[in-house]
Amino acid sequence: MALKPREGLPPHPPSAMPAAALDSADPEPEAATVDPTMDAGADATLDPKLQDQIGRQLRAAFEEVVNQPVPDRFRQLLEELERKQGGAKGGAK
Amino acid sequence: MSIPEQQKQDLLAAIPKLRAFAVSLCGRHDQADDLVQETLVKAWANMASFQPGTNMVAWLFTILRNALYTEYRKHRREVQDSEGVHAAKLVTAPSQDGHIHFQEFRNVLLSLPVDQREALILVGASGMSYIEAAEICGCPVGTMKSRVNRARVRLAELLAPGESVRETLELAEPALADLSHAGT
Repeated sequence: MALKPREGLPPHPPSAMPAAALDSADPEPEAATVDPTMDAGADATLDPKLQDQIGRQLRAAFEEVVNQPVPDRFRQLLEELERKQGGAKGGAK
Repeated sequence: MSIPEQQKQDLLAAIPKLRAFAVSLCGRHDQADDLVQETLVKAWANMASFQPGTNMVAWLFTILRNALYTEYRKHRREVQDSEGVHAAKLVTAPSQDGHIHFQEFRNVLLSLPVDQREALILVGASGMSYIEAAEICGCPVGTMKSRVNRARVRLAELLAPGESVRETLELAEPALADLSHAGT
């Protein structure tokens, strides 16, 4: 289960986790925005395996809805908007 | 003024992501779809202000988010409170097998403060860059990064399998390690 760079996965603070370099395509230092007093907590909690799981769950939760078929009501809505537009050109309502 | 065919297609194509974003913000499908409907109507009416070539999904996310916060401004506290309480009740003890279960994860995600939740969803799931996410939420990029980071730390605390963060920290204390060693 190799860590490969993924789009959309937030980069881990480099200082907190050297191992995460594999996972981080974004060279921007994020650690600067972290409250220094939180470092101990961040070190303890930003466990690479756990963050990897969180990243996967996050995308899975999102993708689950993305992969659902588009409900008919939205196609109908767009058709209706288009019809109205045809009926009242210029009068955007 | 008629809407170019390409933009109609883009609008249609954006619906799945819009729904996913809406569900992750309000946690309920019925409410989320009403929000998507409102977003589509507003987007259609304001299509002239969309700049072709820019990210339409990001533009739509901005509209959806504004619609959500405008809609709930009146009874926002009520909604957030009841959702917070509901989500907190659903948060179960982390499973002991080191595997995060899907439903458990979703409940924990819904228990995050909404600003952290949306930041994490935008950057960690929807594929937006920090810059795009910051634009969508109308905040500086630094703020977006710190929200994402706080959300990740919080989620890790809530989901750490087997042992709590506090226990982990304590185990890391040499003094405590010595004590437990002496005790055996």
